Amino acid sequence: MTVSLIHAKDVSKRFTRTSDLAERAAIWLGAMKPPGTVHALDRVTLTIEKGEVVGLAGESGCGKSTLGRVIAGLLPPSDGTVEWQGEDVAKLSRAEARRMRLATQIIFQDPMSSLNPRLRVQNIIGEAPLFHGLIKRAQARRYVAELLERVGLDPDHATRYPHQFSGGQRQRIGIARALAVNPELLICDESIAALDVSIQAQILNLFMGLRRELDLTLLFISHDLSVIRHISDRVVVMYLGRVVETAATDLLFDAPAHPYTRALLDEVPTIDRRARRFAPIEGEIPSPIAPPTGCHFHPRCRYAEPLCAKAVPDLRPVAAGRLSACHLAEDILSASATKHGERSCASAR
Amino acid sequence: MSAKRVIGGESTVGRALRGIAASRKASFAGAICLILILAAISAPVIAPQDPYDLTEIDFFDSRLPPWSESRDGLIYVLGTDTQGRDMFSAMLYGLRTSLAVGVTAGVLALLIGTALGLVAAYLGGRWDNFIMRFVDLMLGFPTILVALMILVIFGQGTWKVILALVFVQWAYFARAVRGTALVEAAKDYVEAARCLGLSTSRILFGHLLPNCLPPLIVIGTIQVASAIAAEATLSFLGIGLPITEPSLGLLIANGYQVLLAGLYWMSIYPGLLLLVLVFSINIVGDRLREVLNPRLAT
Ligand SMILES: Nc1ncnc2c1ncn2[C@@H]1O[C@H](COP(=O)(O)OP(=O)(O)O)[C@@H](O)[C@H]1O
Ligand code: SF4
Ligand SMILES: [Mg+2]
Repeated sequence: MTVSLIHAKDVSKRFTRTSDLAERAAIWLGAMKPPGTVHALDRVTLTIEKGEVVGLAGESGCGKSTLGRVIAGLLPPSDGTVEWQGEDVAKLSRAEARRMRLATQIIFQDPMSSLNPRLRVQNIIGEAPLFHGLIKRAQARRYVAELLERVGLDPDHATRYPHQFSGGQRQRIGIARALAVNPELLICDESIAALDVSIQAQILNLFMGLRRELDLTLLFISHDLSVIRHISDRVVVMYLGRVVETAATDLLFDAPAHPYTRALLDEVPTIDRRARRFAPIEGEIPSPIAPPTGCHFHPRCRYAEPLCAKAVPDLRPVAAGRLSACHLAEDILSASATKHGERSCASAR
Repeated sequence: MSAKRVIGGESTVGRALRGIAASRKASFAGAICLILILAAISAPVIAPQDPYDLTEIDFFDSRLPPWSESRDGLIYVLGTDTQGRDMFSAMLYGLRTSLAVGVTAGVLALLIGTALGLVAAYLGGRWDNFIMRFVDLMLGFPTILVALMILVIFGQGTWKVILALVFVQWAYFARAVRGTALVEAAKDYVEAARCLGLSTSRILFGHLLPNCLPPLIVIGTIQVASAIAAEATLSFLGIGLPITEPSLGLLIANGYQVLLAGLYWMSIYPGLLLLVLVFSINIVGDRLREVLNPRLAT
């Protein structure tokens, strides 16, 4: 059996704001409430196989970025382990840890703030490979030019500053910067969300092309389900710090096995048949400081039963290659499947 | 496009120089600063007399008013002091000392304050708390009082004055740098640098620092003026620089003793020079603040 590229096991991440001396005095005197703990990740298990494109979906604030940063080794998990090719990342030697760190790169959302405005493009891209001795100084110019070409930019623009480029071009620079250290896994955290719709498609195509050429693995984080559907082999859906459903893209979109996924997929009717828009789910997203008991989704769930408020549903297999964290997963799945059947009949007619 | 270029593109220094050139007041003040700096640097060349070479000083020429002539034909444009020194020469040398002390103190305070401010912002937590409590404490005391106490405790001397000035000034830099660095450190390019495995010092000094330059230049300018004024105050009070290296402040103090006797030139001219110097630097500093960082408050 081959080992997975990434295996995050029962990973939790809690953020507690540290209070300074004055605040601690205020809390002690009763003038302030102690700061709450945010459970950004609650026993998340996620496996990424080499070469896969995994889509990570969920509403804003559910912990997608946090999971990405834990996997990239930028944030230590509060609990649980992350394994890189079968080895616990926390136990790697310094050299191995550095290699793993470089092998996982993040492509950020904001093309403005993700590039240092004071550096020329050649330094933005060339700094890390030079720093780590991956290339020699004499090779740097050539190396940067190749990377710029690879991401579809003019190599002659290497001496320009970031502000001289458009949003889409800047995102390409960010991609070249990541590619410069020969990564195996790219974590694309809302990487196209800030771009114009016409540019989004270009950058998506760039990702797909790079994946093919460089044999990359992608963790594609997005709140936009149409993007996720377009690019992913497999989808992971998160809600309030927990993974609620995992399945191959087609299966998940055809017949979701979790009420939350189902609600996410409820389409808004649009005039243009090709455009898919999804309706926001009714009800407020609960506070991650005081999440609901049992199944986090129960206050907004149409199918909620008394049990749902009491017991946390495990993420468990409900069909071949499908996991769902819902007490009623099997029922939801069959209901989805039927509904899907009706829908395809309707469209056939 | 052109507007965009002006905001993000030019180097900080380019932006600063262009901003000064665009204001008539600031260009004038800047020119004066430049002239004074050049005069201070070339004092040994342009001064008619070396005021500290006793062989050049004629005691019989003491207390001469401006435009008097010495016996060997030298015109004392600004008169002489009680020892017979040419005031103009003494002032050039005094300017040299004042500027040297002010700039040295300003630069040292900038280096120390910047390093601590960056560390506080980037490492956060305990480090931040510790450094910033100390900064608050420093900013809470009146500058002159703290400097006075240090000099009273450690005694006089050029380096002790500089150290006292650095001690009371680094906190201004630390506070300003930390504020800017906190904003910058939250940006994705810093996260990207960490993801690329760059070292902490590389991130601090290669990525964060260059983006914190604008407030540093502004505060640096204003703090040099304030260091010069503080040094003059200390010297005037008689606990600043030693008499062997008189600064403008010491010249003023010496002249002050005979002011009531009608020998006005010995204190008024050094006083005016100090005023023009500090005032010009501050005008340049204010202009820099406008150009580089409109919202910055001191
Ligand atoms: N550094 C942090 N300190 C405190 N809370 C944080 C921090 N980072 C994220 N959080 C909290 O963790 C939760 C998940 O955030 P995030 O992972 O950014 O969600 P997403 O990327 O899905 O929008 C949010 O409630 C957010 O406020
Ligand atoms: S466990 Fe209950 S509340 Fe949660 S999603 Fe399933 S049915 Fe809804
Ligand atoms: Mg996010």
